This record gives sequence, C-alpha cells and structure tokens, in this order.
Amino acid sequence: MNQEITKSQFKNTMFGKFLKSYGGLIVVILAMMVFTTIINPVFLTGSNLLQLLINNNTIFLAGLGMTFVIISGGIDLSQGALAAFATMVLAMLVQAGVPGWIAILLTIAAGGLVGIVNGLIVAYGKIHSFIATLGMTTILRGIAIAFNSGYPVSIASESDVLQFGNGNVLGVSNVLIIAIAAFVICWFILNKTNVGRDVFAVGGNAEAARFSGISVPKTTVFAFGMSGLLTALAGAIMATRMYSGVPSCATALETDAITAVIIGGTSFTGGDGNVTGTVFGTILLAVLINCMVILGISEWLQNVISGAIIIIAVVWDRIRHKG
Amino acid sequence: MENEKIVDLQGIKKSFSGVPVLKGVDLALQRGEIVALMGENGAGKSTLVNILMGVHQKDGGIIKINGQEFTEYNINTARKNGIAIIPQELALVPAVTVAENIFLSNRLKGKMGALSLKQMCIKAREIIDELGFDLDPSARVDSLPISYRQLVSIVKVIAEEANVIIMDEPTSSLSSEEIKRLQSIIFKLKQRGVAVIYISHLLDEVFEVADTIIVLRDGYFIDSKPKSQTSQREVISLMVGEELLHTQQALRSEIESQTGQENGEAIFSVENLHLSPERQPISFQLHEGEVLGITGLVGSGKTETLRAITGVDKYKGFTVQLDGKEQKFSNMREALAHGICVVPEDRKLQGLVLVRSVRENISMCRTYRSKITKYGVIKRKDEQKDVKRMLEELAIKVAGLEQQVRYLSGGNQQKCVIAKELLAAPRILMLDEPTRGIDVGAKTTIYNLIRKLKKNGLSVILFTSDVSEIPIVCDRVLVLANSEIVGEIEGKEVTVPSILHFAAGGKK
Repeated sequence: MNQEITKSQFKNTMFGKFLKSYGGLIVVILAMMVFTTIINPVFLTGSNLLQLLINNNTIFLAGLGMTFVIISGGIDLSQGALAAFATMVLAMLVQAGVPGWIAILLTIAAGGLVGIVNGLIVAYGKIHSFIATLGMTTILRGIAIAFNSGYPVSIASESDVLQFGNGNVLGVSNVLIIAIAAFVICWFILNKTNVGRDVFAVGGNAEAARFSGISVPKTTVFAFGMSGLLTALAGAIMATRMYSGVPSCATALETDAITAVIIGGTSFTGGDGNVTGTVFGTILLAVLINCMVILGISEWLQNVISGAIIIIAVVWDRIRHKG
Repeated sequence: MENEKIVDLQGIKKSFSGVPVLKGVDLALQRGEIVALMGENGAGKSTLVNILMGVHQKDGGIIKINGQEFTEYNINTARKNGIAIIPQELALVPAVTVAENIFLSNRLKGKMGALSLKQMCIKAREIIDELGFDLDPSARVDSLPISYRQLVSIVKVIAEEANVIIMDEPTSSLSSEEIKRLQSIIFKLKQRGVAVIYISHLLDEVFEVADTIIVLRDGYFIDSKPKSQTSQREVISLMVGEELLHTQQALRSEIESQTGQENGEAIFSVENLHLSPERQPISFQLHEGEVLGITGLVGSGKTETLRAITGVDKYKGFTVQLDGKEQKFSNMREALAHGICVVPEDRKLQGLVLVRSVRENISMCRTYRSKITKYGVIKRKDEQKDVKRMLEELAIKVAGLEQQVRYLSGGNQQKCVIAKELLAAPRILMLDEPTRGIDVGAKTTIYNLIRKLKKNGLSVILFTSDVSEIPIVCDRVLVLANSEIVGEIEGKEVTVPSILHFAAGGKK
C-alpha cells in the first residue's frame, strides 16, 4: 500500500480541499483573535465570543441568501429594506393578536414572496438585478414606514414570540440553532440537489445552462426567493431581539452580507462559491469589527477599514479567478 | 536573385490567451511568386496572414520585408510595404461607385482639396483597362454581382500599389467561369511582379495556380514544396497527417460502400420552413441512423435552420415531426425533453460553464440529472460512474473529475460538450460546427465518434461550414444558399467539389 500521500492526492481529499479553499481565511481569523487577545484579553471571554456570534446572526442569514443570488449571477440590494419590512410585519401581526409562531411563518413567507417578485422582475423583465432590487429597496422602505406612519411598532414584553430570538434550548441560544439549521439546509440544497446545481450553472454561464435544458428564469426566481426567505427570517429575529418592528433598521445589511459572501470566496461574477465560505466570511467580518471595538478604534476608521476589506476581497477574487 | 524575397517570415509564434496557435512558422515569398497556403481549419493560416497584415502582433520570430527586418510591425507598416488582402468577406462600401471604392483609402483630391469623382473614374478606368477587366468605374458596387465585387477588390489593391496580395478563399462565391477569369488575372498579376498568397481548400485550384505549396498543421510549419515536386495525395497527407488520413479514408470508404442501401424510417422531418419570404421553403427528412450534413456559406441559412427547429428563434408556419407526430418546441428544454440534443456552435459561450468541474459540466443536462435523482438529491455515485464512462468512451483527457473545464484543450472541451449531450440520451443529435478551432487529431476522433454513434442507431444532423469534413462523416448532405436548399447529395456523390458547386449557386 502507498504509505505516502502525494501533494496532489492530499489536495483531492475532503479535508485537503477544505483547507485549500478556506485555510487562508481561518489563518487570518485566528491571527486577528490572537492579536486582539494579547492586547486586550477581554476578547477571549466566553460571553464576548457568544455575543459576537449572536449579534452577527442577521448578517449571516442574509449572507446565506446573498450567496444563492451571487452564485446565480445576480445581486440583491433589497435585503436591508426587506429585513426592516419583516420586523414591521411581525410586530404588527403580533399586535393584531396572531399567535407567535404563525406570525413568524407568515413573516418569512412574506419575505419569500418579495424575493420571488424580485426574481420575476429580473428573469422576465430582463432587468439587471442591481436595478430591480434597488427599486425594491425604496418600495419596501416606503411600505415599512407607511405601516405605522414612520413609528416603530412595539411587541408586548409578555408575548411568546419573543422566545424566538431570545430563548434557548438546553442552554443553546435559539438564534445559534436557527443559524446552524439554516446553514445545513442551504449547504444541502446548493451541493446535493438539482436546483442547487442549476444555480451554479446559470450563474456560470446562463447560455450553456439554457442549452442543457435548465430553466434560467425558474432558477433565478429560486435564488431570489431563498434570499427573501432568509432575509425575512433574519428580520424576524431582529424584531424579537429589539422587542419591536423598526422601519429604519438594518440599513446596511446587504452591504455586510455582500462583504461576508465575497470574503468567503464566492465569485462576484457568479457560478462559483459556497455557503461554507459565507460562514467564515461572516466570522471574519464579525471578529474584525469586534477587534476594532475592543482596540478602541474610532468608528470612522472602522468604516474605512471595513470598506477597504471589501475592495481587497474583490480584487483578491479577481486575481484568484484569473489563474 | 536569391535575395529577391519580398516577404520573409521566420519562426513566427503566436498565442491567444495562452493557447499557442502558431508554433514557429516560416513563409517566404519572391517577386512574382504564387504561394498556396494550405491547411485544415484551425491550422493557423488566418493567424499567419493576420500577422503579415499587421492585424495581430507576433509573439516570436522574425519579419523581414524586402530584406529589412521589422521589430515593430503593424497595419501601417504592412500598408506602406504594399501588402494587401482580399478578404473572404469583401470589405467594400456598397452604396458608392466602383471608382470611389477603389480609391477609398487613397483618395484623389481635385482643386481646392475636394474629392474629384471624375478624376477617380479616369484613374480607375486606366487601371481596369490595364488589367483587361470588364468593369464600369461609375457603377454602384451594390448593383454588381458578387464576382464583380471581387474584381473591384482586386483593382483596389492594385491601385494601392500592392506588391503582395493575399487572397483568402477567393473562389468561394464564384462560378466556374469566374474562377477561370480570376486565374488568368492572377497570372497577369504575376507577370507584373506581384506576389500572391493564395488560401484555398480546393486542391484542383491550388495545383492550377500555385508555384509553391506551403502546408501548415496545428500551428506548425509542415513543408514547403514547388508544385512540380508534389502531388495532391501528398499535400492531403501533409495537411492531415498520414495516420489520421488513413482513418479518414476508412470512414469515407465505409460511407461509399453503404451507398444505395435502404434508409431507415424517417424519424424526424421539417416541412415548409420559410427563412425568407421570397425563397423556397426548407423541407427535409432525417432517417433513423443517418448522418445528415447541412452546409452552406455564411448567410446561407444554416444556423437559422437550427435555431428555428429548436425554438430559439420564432418562425411561423413550419412544422416539425418526430416519429410522425407533429411537435412544436418553444425552447431548448422542450427539444431536449423529446430527445433532441444540440451541441452548440460556441463551446465556451453556449456549451460549457468554464468555472465548473468536468463532472458538473458533463452531467449538466437537466434531463440526465433528473434520472439520477432521488427525492431531489443527486446520487453522486451514479453521477461519477456515468461521467467516468463518458470520459473513457470519448477518450477525453482530464487531470481528474474535479478539474475545471476551462483548463482543458479545445478538443477535450468539445468532447465534454458532446459527452454532456450524450448523457441526456438523445434520439437525434444535432452538432453545430463541432470541429471549429480544434486540432486535426481531435477532429478525427469526433468524426469517428459520429460514425460510431450512427452505428449504435443514433440519428445525427451535422451543421458545418467546413466542407472538407462532410464526405468523411455524412451519408447525405443538404446544401443551403440564400435561405433555401439548393442541392442534395448522397453517398458516393458527396464530394468537396460537388458540395461547392451547389454552394456557389450551381444548378441541380
């Protein structure tokens, strides 16, 4: 038997591939964590790390949805507005006396519907998704504001719906469970199913997909539908954690989601990437911001650094896909 | 006199996005010499010509014109040194006179700097008379038949004082009489000391005109021989390679031996397809287990026919029958669902998702994938097994199933597209220009494959503009010109000259 595993054989094992794809990201994340811990040990406390994961849950969920859209060759700019819209929908449903879990399902369904509309406009209106979802942003913000004349809608503190974002099962935060479940489902759809394969094919080369009998419009609608569902889910969590629906919240959610997705190695030109990358992209982004806060870097400088990270990630993406 | 070389290219190298197209090619030309440049499609002829014209810049090698070496060589250098081309698709301005076209890049100015049509006509007349052409300089170009437009192009390059003229497939749209006339013109040019690079597929023509024959194959310079020291057989062998030539000849003799055999049942037919309202409608049948070729020049309606059948473009009033039942396909998906698979014209733009793996590309057809799916989940083992089988059957060379297809050579990429369509279990396979831009070896593999598929009972329609491959693979061929069928040839009769005869507008 061959005792030696050659370099190329190693590359083809699952673990080898994983390291090749995400090793760099993991090293950067660990380096930042070590650096920050040395300067301020507060970083490595359990409560800080847990808070870090929970607080960035919305970015992660929206990022999962964004991964579908970006792999399919599009972009969804309406996520922030949709999340705010979803907080309002949930709060108003609860206020109207709808039982908690039904209200949550309805909110998520509404998000899915908005996503499908986005997809239909892109697929059949033949409009670039940048424009279509930009228009949708304005519409959704408008509706969210109109719901209660611009004021937030609060959720009564005894309402059972609040458990959704604040409760836990056997000591594990619901929010974490939801995030893990959403990741597993998304990973499975993208990597194991026909529709997932279609998303990659359509984003990689829509014309070739068409010649292979794949319905490009249906696939586009599916990708945007996923984005809508996941964003509304993020919105529902936000509402329960804020105890209210806020029409002006989540203003830069889509920017953060895009950043997480691109850092995670999903190609901006479509056809290549994965939700696993989005996990590490989100963690990197979260750790970076947390580090900067702990290190006392002023907010304007944080913005500069975050912006620079996006540009570096995209340039890196280009260089990677050239070779 | 040995140094009388007007053009002397040595070891020219050129790559396009990393793919070498010319791998050290020589080309020497003396005053008054007629050199035929020969090679299969994709051998590098047009790239070489484009480098000589200064359209492309060489990556390596030496360019010497009139003994002078140029390091910077571009379109202007070529023009200044009197190197001109008569392109395959004529580059004339249709709506103005012959004279104006002749002096298009070399305008004659009258008094006050204004263009003088009168003077241009007089000058044009002089050149035309000198060449002994029958051409009216004041006629509008769009009023002339194609062959006359070719004359205009020739006069134009003479007026520009060209001493090297490149003719790219100059006879592709000429009748046999016009070809004779063109030949006598070429001899006249030769007497004037003009050197000609003559690019053609047609051996008969080449052997009539050329002094020297240069053969390229897959970007390599193979040989340069005086006409008197070679034969048609040898030139073909040089172009294709002896071994591959044998394979091709075996395929050909198989077709010839099957001539006159009873055809299978008509499996597929197209009726009354009007590509153009003024033309006769296109109708044809495809028999079970037959390889039908559909060919024609650019603009003949070849691609349009394919697009109409598969519902990509909408045409009214025609019917498609499959197994005697009328069908209407409004897109590729519906065609695929009925077992009609298309290998599209452009493998990179329409055939493959370049950033995805070999495995994912070969299993991309939705009709195939839905067969290996259980509860919406793709059965990875079945997929890998099928893909591996296709790789073996088609002899596709890959580094592994997970290699991205963009790293494969053109021929292997094309085989991946064919493998993809075969997994969709076609009843009818339509191939659109399947051998464009791939090397002779890969071409021959694809010819073999098509014949093998035919033996296994698959019906094939081959849309191609490479006339030389039709006799090797097709049992029957339809020749299109101006959006209608102008000829149908079968079995032994399918030869390059017979196809070209129809394509150029010959009578049935």
